Amino acid sequence: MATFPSLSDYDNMTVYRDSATQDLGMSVKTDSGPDITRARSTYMLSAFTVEHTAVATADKTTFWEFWEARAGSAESFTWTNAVNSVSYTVRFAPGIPEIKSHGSTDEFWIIKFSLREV
Amino acid sequence: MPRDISADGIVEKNAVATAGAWIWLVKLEVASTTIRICSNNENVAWPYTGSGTGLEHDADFPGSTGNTWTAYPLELGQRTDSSAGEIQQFKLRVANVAHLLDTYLHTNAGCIGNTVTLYLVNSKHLDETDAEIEVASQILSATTGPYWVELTLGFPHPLRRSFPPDRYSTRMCRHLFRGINCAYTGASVTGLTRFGSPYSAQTIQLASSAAELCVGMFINVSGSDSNDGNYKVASNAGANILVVTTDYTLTNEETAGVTVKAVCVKTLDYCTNIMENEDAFGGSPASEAG
Repeated sequence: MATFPSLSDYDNMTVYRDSATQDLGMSVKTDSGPDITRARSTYMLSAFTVEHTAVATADKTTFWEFWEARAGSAESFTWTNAVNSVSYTVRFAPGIPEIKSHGSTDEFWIIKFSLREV
Repeated sequence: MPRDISADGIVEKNAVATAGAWIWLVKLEVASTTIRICSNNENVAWPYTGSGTGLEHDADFPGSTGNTWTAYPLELGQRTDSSAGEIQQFKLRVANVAHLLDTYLHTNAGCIGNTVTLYLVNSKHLDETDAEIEVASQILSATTGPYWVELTLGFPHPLRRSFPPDRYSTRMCRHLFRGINCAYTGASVTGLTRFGSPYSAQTIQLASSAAELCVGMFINVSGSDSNDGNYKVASNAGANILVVTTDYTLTNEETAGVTVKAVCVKTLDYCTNIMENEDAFGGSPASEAG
């Protein structure tokens, strides 16, 4: 399984957001009394959004080639969350990663992408 | 099969709010392979014996005993009851994006008649050795598409079974050639085989002698470059030289791994005089034709 490449963020302001892919709970309403709630399944699959704010052009190319090699959201890979150093098996969320220039030069780039645990 | 829901199962069933999930475990028995999948988003060990919970992301998975049920996308359809005397059927849809099940379906005649067993378990009580619900059924039909394999499960209607089970014919044998009722086992030679040169264009030099490939017998050749097909034996020199009738012209060739074997034409005369297997003839020559 492929491993997500290391990207250097020059202003050291990478933003990580943790979330989940779905609420596991499901409920049935009753005419009287409380809703009946159950778990749909047993494991809370994580979701992550990562935003690098100043990535060099070479790293941007590395990221783009990695995304293409995974066929976008098709193939899973290993990604380590830098916040807690925990590794996850993830894939890219459907959609195109957001890449835009940092300022008016092509020296640094802002890269934003989302991951879904599989 | 359990007759009652377990005490733990009743507590889970009646709870107003609980984190326990009801999980369908599906056991597909296809040919000699058993496929175990479950309707969960992580693998499950059941029946579980260990210090954890039996769930993949918890400690001591999969424990020391039990089977691992792989998390796999599947959907179980509604099972309906009616008063029309119908035998219940329901649908099981299994994800087919990777076409993993196609091979099994294609090589096993759609897996018709294979057994599918469903078990309903609760994620909090995977150590229970009996499922809360257990349903055994057969695959009645199967369809595949780009995203799903859809299996219709149930049991064959007894009134649709053929009776009597076999079709009896005066002249033709109903047994599968080389099958258990036919019991014919002779005459199959595999190995380096030479066709034509240096002999005539009707000659087959076998890898070894086979006296059973006698005059008048139809033979099948497979694995050759140019001479695959059916032929009729005109003479057998007794060694490893066969001559087929002049209806055929063989292409000069010498190939390893060619198989030459007897072919049955299902008639009493052929079974008696050529195959010498009349005791197992599957026709009914004494019965009236029609």
